[in-house]
Amino acid sequence: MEQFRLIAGTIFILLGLFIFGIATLGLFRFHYVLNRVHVAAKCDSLAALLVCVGLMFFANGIGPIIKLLLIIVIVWLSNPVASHLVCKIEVETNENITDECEVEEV
Amino acid sequence: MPVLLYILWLAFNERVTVDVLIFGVIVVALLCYFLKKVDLWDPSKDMQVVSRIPAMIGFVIRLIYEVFKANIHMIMLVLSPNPNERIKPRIIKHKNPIKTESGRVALANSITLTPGTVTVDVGDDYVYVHAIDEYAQDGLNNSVLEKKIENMEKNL
Repeated sequence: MEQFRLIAGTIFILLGLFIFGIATLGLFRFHYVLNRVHVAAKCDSLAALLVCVGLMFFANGIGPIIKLLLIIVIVWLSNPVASHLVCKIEVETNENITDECEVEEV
Repeated sequence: MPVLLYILWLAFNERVTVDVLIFGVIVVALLCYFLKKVDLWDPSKDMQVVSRIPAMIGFVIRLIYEVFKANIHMIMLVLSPNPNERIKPRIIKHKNPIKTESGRVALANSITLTPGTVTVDVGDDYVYVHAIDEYAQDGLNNSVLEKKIENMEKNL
């Protein structure tokens, strides 16, 4: 049982770290804000979920598990809102936005 | 709501003793009184929220599945040799049928978490969406999550 917890937790945390790495790489590989936000918004939320699930395997008792669940809920609620704000500011302030992407009836 | 707050209190304490239980009742009572004063909690709506829990669980499971799909799509894109040539970004105006405010927030957040799309702006009956290619646009037009949110609203 102890070994199963160790192995499962390690696998989840490593997967989460791998996705965090991909997200960081993606931020540098795309050239425009709105394309970069895609990577930041999606990969970070899944990676945070995987790391927290991995940590749940190491937790003793129900208390830390509920706390980790709350962390996941807060990250999943705040991450899309933050990227949404970045997008909104960029679209409203960039005067040459049509150079970067096709815009439909704005 | 009081039940939820009480569970939260017990979870934060991590142990169940008599003084923790008694303090919990006092703190939860104070919090509920305060929330009612500032109109953040309406006791008559609690039962409606409880009746929507099965729909919410279905929605969350579907959301997690969509996030996995989105991430596989994103990882493929990032690891491809020249990602900037493989994308065709565009901004779309998308009609949304959701009426309630919380439903709109849920829709905007789930659009951001589904493959290839990020919400830019939310209005009364539309959302502006930044899609990364045509494939993402198709996914937006027949999205399962939107129907699920609509179903949740019907029970309201």
